[in-house]
Amino acid sequence: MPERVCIQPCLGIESVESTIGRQACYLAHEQLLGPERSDLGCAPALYAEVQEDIDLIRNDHVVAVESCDRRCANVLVAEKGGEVHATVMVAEVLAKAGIDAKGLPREHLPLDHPAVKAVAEEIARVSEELLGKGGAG
Amino acid sequence: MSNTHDFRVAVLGCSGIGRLVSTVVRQAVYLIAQDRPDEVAVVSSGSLTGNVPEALEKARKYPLIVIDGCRPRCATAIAAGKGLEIAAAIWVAEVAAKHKLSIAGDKRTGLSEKGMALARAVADEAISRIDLIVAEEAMSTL
Repeated sequence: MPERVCIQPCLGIESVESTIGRQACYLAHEQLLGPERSDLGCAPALYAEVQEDIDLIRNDHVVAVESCDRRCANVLVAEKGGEVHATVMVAEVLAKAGIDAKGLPREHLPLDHPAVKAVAEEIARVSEELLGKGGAG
Repeated sequence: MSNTHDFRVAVLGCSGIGRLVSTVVRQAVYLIAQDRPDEVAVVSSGSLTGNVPEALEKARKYPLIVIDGCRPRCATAIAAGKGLEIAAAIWVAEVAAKHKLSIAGDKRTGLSEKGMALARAVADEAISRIDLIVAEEAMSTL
């Protein structure tokens, strides 16, 4: 069973939710889970069939991070022959946390922004569940 | 510049996540959208790779400029894979070399002035192409 998680964001650019999702992926990967247990999946690189990104969806648990109901990360992973093991919907996490994304800048949000932290924590939570099921422990 | 009919230039940045240059491209696209709100239509790489019909339609309808961050040139690959014709392609490394800009030491999670300077230069390069395409279109309708 995989011992690593590939965090695969949709990488949209037009909505603030996509920016929140993107920044949350960095926070989850770099700080909450750590690079020793997680990888960042790059959608354009996966589409272009960069071997490193193909390997990630084949070898890791895959956690898709979606900024809208088009679920672009899920579509892409399936198209490239991978399997998504869990999906984090940014809007659902924000609603649950009582955070209104309206008015937030889509250009950039720092990693310590509450919206980013809430989504990152959810990514880490579902990742820990997957690692617990299939990890070395 | 103002458009007199339904004409825009579609802008597709790779907007990846792994490398610092991906963040530069993403910020460059935002700068382009801010500076030419009536002339451009932003197309997200995520929407294209997710086969969102509206994104595909936008990229097919208008002349398309692609902006690539790193060597695999994924925005170009996406355009090719989706059968989209590329009107102009910009590669961040070429812009960095032209303007002698370095982003070494900057962070992909949030650009400093150094990273934003390169994003600005990439945006300006794209805007010069956009202005030319828009001008050509305007001339062709006179």
